[in-house]
Parts: sequence; C-alpha cells; structure tokens
Amino acid sequence: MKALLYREFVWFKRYFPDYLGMWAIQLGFSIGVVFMPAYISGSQAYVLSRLKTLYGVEFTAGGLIAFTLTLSSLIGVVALIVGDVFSTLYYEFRIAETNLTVMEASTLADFLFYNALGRSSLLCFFATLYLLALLPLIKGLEGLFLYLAVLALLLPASIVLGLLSSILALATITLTPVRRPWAIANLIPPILLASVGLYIPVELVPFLLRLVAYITPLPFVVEALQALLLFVGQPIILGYLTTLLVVYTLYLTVPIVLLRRAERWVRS
Amino acid sequence: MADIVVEEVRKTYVVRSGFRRTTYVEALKEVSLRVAKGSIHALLGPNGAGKTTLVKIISTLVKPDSGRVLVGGFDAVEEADKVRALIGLVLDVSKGMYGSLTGFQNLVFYGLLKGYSYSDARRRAREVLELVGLDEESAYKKPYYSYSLGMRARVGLAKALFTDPDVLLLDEPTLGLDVSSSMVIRGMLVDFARRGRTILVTGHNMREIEEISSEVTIINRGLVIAQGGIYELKRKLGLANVLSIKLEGAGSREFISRLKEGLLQIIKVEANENSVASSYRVYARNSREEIVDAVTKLIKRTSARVVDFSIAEPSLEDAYLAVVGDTLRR
Repeated sequence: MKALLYREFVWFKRYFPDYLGMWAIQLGFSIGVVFMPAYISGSQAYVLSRLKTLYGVEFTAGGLIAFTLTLSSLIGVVALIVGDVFSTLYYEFRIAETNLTVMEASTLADFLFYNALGRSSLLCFFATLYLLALLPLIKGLEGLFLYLAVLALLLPASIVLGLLSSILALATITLTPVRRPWAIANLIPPILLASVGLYIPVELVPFLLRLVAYITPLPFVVEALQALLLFVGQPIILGYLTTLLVVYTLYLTVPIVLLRRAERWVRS
Repeated sequence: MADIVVEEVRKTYVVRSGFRRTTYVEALKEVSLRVAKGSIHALLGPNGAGKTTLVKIISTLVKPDSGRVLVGGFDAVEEADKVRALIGLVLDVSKGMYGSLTGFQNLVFYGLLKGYSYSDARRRAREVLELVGLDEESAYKKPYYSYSLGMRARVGLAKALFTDPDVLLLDEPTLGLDVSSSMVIRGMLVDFARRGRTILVTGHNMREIEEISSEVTIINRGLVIAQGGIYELKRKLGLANVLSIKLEGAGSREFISRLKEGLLQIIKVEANENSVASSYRVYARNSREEIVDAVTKLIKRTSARVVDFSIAEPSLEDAYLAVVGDTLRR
C-alpha cells in the first residue's frame, strides 16, 4: 500500500496539469450534458413541474442543479475507473512489465487489491471534487454534508468497480490475444451506465443488460443516490444504507477471492 | 554446498494465438543444475532455449509443472516468500520500471514493495545508485524513459542489489550495452561473487561469460546439453589448441611433417608457404605444455628457424559452438 501511495503521489505531481484538465472536462460535462438540455427544453417552471411528475418530489432550482450535478458525477467515476484500470494494467503487464517487479517483490493479488483500493478511491475523489466546490455554493452547509454523503456512497462502489475492472483487464490481457484492450474499456462504461438505472429506471432495462448491471453494485448506488438527493433527512435513507452495507460486503468479497485465483493464473 | 539446486524441472507454456487456438510450447523438458555458493554460474543457450524461463522459475515468478527448485535451502514453490527475500533479479534491463518515474523513484517504489519504511527505502535507493555509479542528474531528475540502455542496466542492477541479496539472478545483464558499461558491470559481478554472493547469469557474449564465470550450463530446446567447469568442458569436448608458427629456411616442411609424425595429435594444418617464410596453423589436441615441448625439441633437430610462434587455447565460444552448433544442425 505504501508503495502504491508513493507511486500515486509521484504521478500526481508529474501529471497535475492532466488532472486539472480532467476536472475541467468533468465539470463542463456535468453542466453541459445533464443540466443544460433540461433548461433548453423549456422554462424553469416547466422543467421543475415535469421533474415533479417524474420523481414525485417538488424541486427547487438549486435542488435540480445539485441533483443533475451529483448524478453526472457517477458517469465520470465509472468512465474514469474502468478506463484507467484497463490502460494502467495493460501498460504494467505488456509495455513496462512492472508486474514482474511486483511479483518478484510481493504478491500480485495484494498489489491489485491495494491498487483498486487506492487508485479507485483517488480517482473517485478527483472525479467528484467539483461537487465539493459547487454543492456548498448551491445549498450552503447542507451542500457540504450532501457532498460527504455522495462521496461515502461512491467510494466503496469505486473500489468494487476497480476490483472488477482489474479482474476483467487481467483476464483480457493474460487469457486473450487482444492487443487493444482500451477498445473494450471504452465499451464498458456506456453499457454499464445505460443499464444501471441512471437514465431510465432499472426495471425498464432489458433483462440481459440488467444482468450485466448487477455484476456491479451500481444499480443499488444509483437508487441510493436518488434517494439521498430527493429524500434528504427522511428515514427511507437508513433502509438504503443497510441494503448498501450488505451489497458492498458481497461485492467486495467475490472480487477478492477471484484475485487470489488470478495470482495462480499469472504465475503458471 | 549448492545455493541453487534445480532438479528435473519441466515447464510447458500455453500460447494463445487466437481466441480459440492454443498451442503448447515445451520450454523446459528436464533441466537440472547446481550453483555453488559464492560462484558465478553461466546459463547459456541459443534464443528460445529456455534460459529466461528457468530464471523466472528460480525467482518464483513462474511455477514449474514438475521438478524441484531450492534457493538457499528454500523451495521456490512452497516457500516462495523466503526465496524472494534471498534473491535479487534482473530480467530484461529495459523493462520492469515505470517510465514516468526517475530511477531513484522507481527504486524507492521497489523498496516500499519489499516492505522497507519510506526513509529506509530512500536511503537504500541512494546507496545502491551510488554503488552502480549512476550520475546524480539522471538518477534523481530525469524520468526512466529518457535513460540510455547502459543507464537502465545500472538501475536494474541497483534494483537487484537493493535488499543486499545472497543470490543474484541476472538474465542478460549486459545486453546491448557499450563496451565500457558492460566492463563496469562485469567488474561489479566479479566483486559481488568475491564477497560470497551466488550469481546465476545468462548471456550470449561468450568472452564476457568466460571472463567472469567458473561454471557453465548449456541448454538447448529445454534440455541440458553440457555442464561443468569451463576448463573441464573444453577438455571433455576435446577441443584443439591452435599453434600459429612462422618458419624460415629449407627445413620448414620437415618441421611440420615431424610434428605430425607422432609428436602431437594433430587434427589439421593450415599452411601459407612461400620462398622466404612459411606460416602454419596447427590444430592439436595436446595441452599447451606438450605443444611447447614439441616445438622446442624440433627447433634443435631441424634446420628450420622459428621466427614467431603462439598458442591459442580454445575459447568458451568454441566449446559452445561445438555443443550447440551440433544440436542446431540436427
């Protein structure tokens, strides 16, 4: 873990301008793609009334902005983590071959676990950092708490996503002749995001696509995020938290067991 | 006492060339070797012979299908953690490091992976970089991707020495290096062996290997085809010493024919004769001393005048070609 933190720190220092660009794109994306079309489609009063019909909750203008900004952060988190894990592991296994250095010094399963834990958490933090500035600006102190709650929801989901992406990337790199794994990495986020209930309710998603979505905890996260944003302070949130606790335990255990097996594949 | 023991190791790789097509490559068929403590043992063989696979198995990176590998008395499969604590490894001098990190940062990363504290990892990284002689500007400021092959080899060696290991496994550590860089690294290896470290080194440069190693194992197509001390190997293969001699005077031909008539066990003679002086290359299976003795006797008995003579012993390259060249032709 220490080694990975050190590597991340060095990379962060070296690639700081890239990270700045990432934040700027994320912010532009959040405002432009999710929020703007709603306003373009009609007056503010019209948009708010339509959303009330859709979600059954009265929105304020500030609440609507916070809602769209927060949901779009999930898009950034998924796209960033899947893409980054695939490209970093491909670089480590096929180009720099630093996996051999890791396997010589330590166990690959531990490295991949801590990599998913550390790197995914960092990426989740970076991808949602704009919320730290914008949510308190829109909703004051409540916005700050909302940001912390969103982060608490997304962090474990990011770690699970990092672990699952590591396993998929490792299988792709070691068990298939694929030479352009980023092509696969680019396909996964849209498929996942289309099926987890972010754009349309998960019940309306075709069965096979829903199965893909439930490989990850994202459908539960989307539901919990919506509940958090729409029913702040209501007891319903506690129910979601309990479900998520069970879901995260299950979704963390399976990839960790699979990673132990991955060590055996790679060394044989 | 042997520090590395390899007993009847076999390894077959599954190679995927398409989504459904798999082929099996027998990298090691049955390899056994022993490397004595404090010695430099060379593992030789043509490309694809199985050298790197064997180094990977000894270093615990790859598990053998069958057979046993012991390093410092620990089993490389069952006690992989203990083996890892004993070894330092260089696999490919241009791989295994993050391109965007400096040499120093890569070494600190490695140290942290090995369980060092941050301050100890930094201190040790500085020490090993000084030991391998990488200049400060490159080591601490430039990213690894900008390093020359020689600089990368030094960082690779620094990584191998990071934990001050008892056993060094070096896969072609001087591949692609310039003359002075490879000379420096050879000097270091000899020095490490003198201090009691066991070194297993692979390579293709026979002169370098002959200069630093005491024992060799030659493998080809996953099988050991020759093994032993370099001198014993040459003797066992019956390789010829080459006498180069320049003679003047009428008795030159007589000199050579009397050499052939029982004084030496001659394989062949290459002659370049002219009226003033004649040069001969005589390939004989005799020892250096026997050849000197025969030439001294004939100087007294014939009218030929010896202008110049030298004896070249067979090199490791000759021995290697005698063994591997033969199997390659099969």
